[in-house]
Amino acid sequence: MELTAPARPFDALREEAALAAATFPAGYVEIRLESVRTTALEYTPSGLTHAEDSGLTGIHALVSVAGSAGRSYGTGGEGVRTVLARAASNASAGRTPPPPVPGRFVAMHREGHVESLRDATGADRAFLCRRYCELLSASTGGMPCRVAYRDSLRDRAVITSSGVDAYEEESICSFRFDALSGSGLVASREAAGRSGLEFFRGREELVERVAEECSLLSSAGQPDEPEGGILLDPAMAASLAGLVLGRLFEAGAHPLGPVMDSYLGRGARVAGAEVTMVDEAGRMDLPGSMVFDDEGVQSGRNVLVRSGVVEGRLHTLATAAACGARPTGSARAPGPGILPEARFSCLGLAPGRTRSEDILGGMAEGLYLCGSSGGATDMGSFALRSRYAWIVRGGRPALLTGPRTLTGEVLSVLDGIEAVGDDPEFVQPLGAHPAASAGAPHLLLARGRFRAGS
Amino acid sequence: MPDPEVLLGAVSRVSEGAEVLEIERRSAIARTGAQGGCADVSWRVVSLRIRRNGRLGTASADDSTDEAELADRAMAVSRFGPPSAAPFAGPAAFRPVECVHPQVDAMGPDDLEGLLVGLEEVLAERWPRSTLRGSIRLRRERFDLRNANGFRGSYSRSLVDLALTACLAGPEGLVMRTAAFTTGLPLLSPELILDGLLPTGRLMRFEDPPRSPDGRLPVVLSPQVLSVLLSTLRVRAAGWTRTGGFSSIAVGDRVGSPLLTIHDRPRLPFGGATAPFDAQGMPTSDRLIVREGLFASHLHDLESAHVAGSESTGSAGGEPGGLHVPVCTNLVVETGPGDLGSLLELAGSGLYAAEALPGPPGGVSWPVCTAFVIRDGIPGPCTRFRLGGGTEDLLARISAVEDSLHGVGTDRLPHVLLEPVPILGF
Repeated sequence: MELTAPARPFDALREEAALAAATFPAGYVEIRLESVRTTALEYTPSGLTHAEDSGLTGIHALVSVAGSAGRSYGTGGEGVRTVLARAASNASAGRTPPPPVPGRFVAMHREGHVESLRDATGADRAFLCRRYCELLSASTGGMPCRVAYRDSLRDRAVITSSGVDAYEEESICSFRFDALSGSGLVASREAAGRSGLEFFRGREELVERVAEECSLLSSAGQPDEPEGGILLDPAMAASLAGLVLGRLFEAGAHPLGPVMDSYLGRGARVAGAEVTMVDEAGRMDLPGSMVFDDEGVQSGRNVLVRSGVVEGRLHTLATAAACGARPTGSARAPGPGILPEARFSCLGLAPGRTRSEDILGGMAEGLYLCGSSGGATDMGSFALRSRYAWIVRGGRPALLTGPRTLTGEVLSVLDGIEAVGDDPEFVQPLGAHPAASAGAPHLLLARGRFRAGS
Repeated sequence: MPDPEVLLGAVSRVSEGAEVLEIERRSAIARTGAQGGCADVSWRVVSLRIRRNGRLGTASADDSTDEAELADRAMAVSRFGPPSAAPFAGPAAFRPVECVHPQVDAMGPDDLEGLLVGLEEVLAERWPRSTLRGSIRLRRERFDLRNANGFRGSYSRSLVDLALTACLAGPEGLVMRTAAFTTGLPLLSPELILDGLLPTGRLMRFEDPPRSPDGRLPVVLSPQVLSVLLSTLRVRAAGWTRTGGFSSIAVGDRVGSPLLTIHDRPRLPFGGATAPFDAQGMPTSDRLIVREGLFASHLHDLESAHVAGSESTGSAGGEPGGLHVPVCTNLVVETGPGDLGSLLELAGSGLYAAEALPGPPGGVSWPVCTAFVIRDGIPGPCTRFRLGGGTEDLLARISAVEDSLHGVGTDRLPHVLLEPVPILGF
């Protein structure tokens, strides 16, 4: 057997899909192709602890036949026509009305990075992981530490019988540095970019910041919960925006869909005048950015809240049609074989007019939550964990404490924002399926509406 | 499609050990909502694991990839992969296990849609102002594992994945209840599925949790909340990660109340994670993890067992293309003598914790986002609170266990009653 990798098979699959979309006997045909190659590594001072190299090519087909729609998904080896035939069979057997059809759209987006993930070797990635891990271990005086790295190289295409022929290449490079402090708390930094391997180079400064935080956390205590407001640093604020606010504006995401349509109707005042929130898919350096969505609709900039007033929501073709809105190019499939839903891409809370230092200075007593360890929501309530927190007294961080869990009601968040800092937004990567980013400046939350317990 | 036998033959000649896992999955999915209707998913993946020059390499690909590319990728990883001296499984026999129930295997897309419509109708009848979202999936899978030591094994299983969220709206707020489990048994009626979600009357109102002089109240945990608490134990029982040696739990450590006994049952008939052999070809066996509150045994794969000087427990798992780790499969908690009604009666004036958000690692409180105030043994108004205490503090306070089991994920768990625990504001 000859051990050589074949040339790009995705282009051949696209050609097959284009031919099938033009000739398959159906009222409407949509073919979505996606090929993802993921590499993940994890290093500790004892060596490589995790390695992953996985690849998956998938074919999604949507076919409308005689007023009924059917869907199917198959892996790449099945061939486009086989998957289309199954979708047509599902359409004939089902009673699902055909979805709205996108207009003509043609796009071809290829990436040009300094160090393409397609050409980078696993050994290059492993070398960088090991180097940062050794540096982190040395900088923290031998505390347990870990470097986790993940990248994904994705080709995707949407081809429809209505004239969509769009292709996009996407490289996402992400990493995370962790170090365990003497108090048992974890110091951490993570970053992700739509980039080649060069994104992972020259990160020694970030290693130093983790080491500094590790040293700081060694002295953290666990005092009682103080009264007063809760100030979120940009990392926590970005996580709150991504976990709660972005999802609120995704049409169809909330379990109370129709109720949310009226609550977040255009023109409704939902927050103070300082709050402006935008989803901008065109920020091509950030994970989540895209030229077109998974229904073949061009993506762009969508203002969700302007000066506290709802300006729009994020839609798929179907949710837009259902409420008479325009599609926003926000349909995104969370994984292989899963239908696209309205999802935010690169969400940003715009900086406000209040200096962040003044917000902190104005707090007589309260909590300042820093760094994010993630969270969860059922869309009724939410819980979000900080990496550490400061007890604030007299406008100054007075006492360092361990992590705090911010809890509250989802629908209380927007009008619970009392002040928005003026610092440039900090961008937090938000997972991989689908990739997304959120950014925000400092946020001050209203007293009494949220809790931040240990 | 990579031919597993050709692939195995080729890589065996250039490595010290090689193993090929082929997974084929066909699913039918029925969804609620505007984009509902039924869709199907067909998925075929081949995963290769090798040991070359004493290092592990791994890669996975779908059926559009050829043998050469997959072999090349696994060998590339083995150039810097973790060192390993653990053996690959030999050609051992394994006992078959019940994975395909004829009634589940006979189900089709119409049955899924019918069940979903039934659930929507029953919910609307009981709670007119409610919505139901999610999906029901019928999953048929075939696993075929072979290695260069002569192991050959395959099995099939048919499963139903139910993932639904019911949202009930009252004038004062929302109540969410989830049903998320995987089973190889035929699903019961819509009424029975929904019975477990709504232990309250038709009129929904909200109250703060009642106060007690010492800030503590007895709490009945739903199987969903118990599952959240057990997630830490699940990781620590199968706790060997290549990071720092073995789990900090030692055999004999107390991890819960004497009423808590937990089994890992990979051979549970028609369980969601039931299999005759693990991802490395080792025969599976049911195992006691916690006996009367004391930790009883760790789970091992071949790698962790080799390092520990122990035997594999047939617990290897992991994603295609990644390295194996020991994992729990179907956790089953031993039942107690009383039904849910008796637990609620014992709670008297306490709380019923229905849904909790996943707890942050190392946290000392758990946000309970859906709960009910119990008065005279009957759940009433809705509420929210945080359970004060870490996982082990809370599990140590179990004072009664229900006599029935309920599906949560792939686990089978009962309701449990906690003796008074600190109740904190949400």
